[in-house]
Amino acid sequence: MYGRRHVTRSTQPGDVPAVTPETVFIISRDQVSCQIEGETVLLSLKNAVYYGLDPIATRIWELFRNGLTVGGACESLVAEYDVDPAVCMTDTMALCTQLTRWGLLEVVASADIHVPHAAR
Amino acid sequence: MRMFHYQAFGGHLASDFAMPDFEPSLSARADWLVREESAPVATPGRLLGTFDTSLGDQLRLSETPHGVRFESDTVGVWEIEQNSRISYAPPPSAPSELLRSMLLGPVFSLILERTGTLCLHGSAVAWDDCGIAFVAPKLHGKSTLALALATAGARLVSDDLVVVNSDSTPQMRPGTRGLRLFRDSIAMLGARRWSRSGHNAAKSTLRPPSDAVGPSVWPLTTVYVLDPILTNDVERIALRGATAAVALAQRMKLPDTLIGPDAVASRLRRIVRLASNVAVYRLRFAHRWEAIIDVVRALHSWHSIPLSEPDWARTPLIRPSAVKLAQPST
Repeated sequence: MYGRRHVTRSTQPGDVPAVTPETVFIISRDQVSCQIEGETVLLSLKNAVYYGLDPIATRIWELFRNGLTVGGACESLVAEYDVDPAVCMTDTMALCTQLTRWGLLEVVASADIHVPHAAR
Repeated sequence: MRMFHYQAFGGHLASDFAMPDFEPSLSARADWLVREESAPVATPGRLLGTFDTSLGDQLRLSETPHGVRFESDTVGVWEIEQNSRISYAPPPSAPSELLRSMLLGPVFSLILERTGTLCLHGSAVAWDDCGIAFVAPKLHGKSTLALALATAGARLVSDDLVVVNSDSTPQMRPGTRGLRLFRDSIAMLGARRWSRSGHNAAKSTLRPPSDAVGPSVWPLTTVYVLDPILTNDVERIALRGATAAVALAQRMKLPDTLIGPDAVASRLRRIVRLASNVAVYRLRFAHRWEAIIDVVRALHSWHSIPLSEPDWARTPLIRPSAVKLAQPST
């Protein structure tokens, strides 16, 4: 549903653990990002590949800035957008999986981070 | 030791090897001083980045006590001190073409990027208040399009390296005043008033007549990302937001892996600022000689610019024996 990828070279998919609503993500340090017109440009410092996020993916990216569960992110999104919760969860988990595979998000243990929103 | 003095990118360059790409300067001032050393002066420190070159080796960027240094088996050692003093220790019998491409590529790109500008891999032309840059990888027709427009009345701003600030009104600095083109491109487009000098068997440098260059900085209003395809039409597709910024970021002269980790974030901010302040389009056109005049006419129409029909468009095109245009990318 959201998230665009701009690739300058091929990348090898990394191992991504199974994503559940309880999985906690945080933005990787191995990237730099900048916003433009509500969208986000990302550069992976691991492989020098650029990515672009559309406005909704940008909102999700911002939600994970301080660490958050997928369920917590979906709570915010459902409150902000006219979206079915089940669709939101499916799409958000898919986006998180992709961003993790590209090294832009990292899975962290929930005990290691303050989680603003409780997982459902 | 003889030194050559040139005007380059809005400053003055003094070099101990000739750089015919630049306009000669009568000034003894030197914002950048390039000189050969018998051996590297500084000891390399922290490795800042690497890049695998098309020559098959790896170019490394390291810190030194007063600046940085590039190093590879092919190009030798190039040290940059305080963004102004450039000393190089090339391998034995390094050809002048290698020195030129190193200086005009990574060395100047890094210096200019570290002083706050952006260095696009492209060619640029301009009219009064309209500046256009064509950005693309090698062999996509940047210089050929610049020559086609310059012979139709545009002013040449720069070839191969477009140096631009990222202010709210982006401006291009004058760069190399010659176009490096395959000989068949020159034969096809005529350019009778342009002088030429040899570089190698395949390419020549064309130097424009005085009325085809600009005196100082030019505004940059539009960037076209060249996308030669198999089509009979010329079309431009507007890129906005992150898509425009990524398109520009992918066409920087200096790879992200060679700018140094501390500078990557600030460069991305400058790229985003530039993408916000210029129009960015993907330009799709047929990668055929016959289509060049269609591109020129389309640009004339889109920008309402005073282009004249060039001589080469009035005469039947004669296909040269060896057409060097690259195959479109997929």
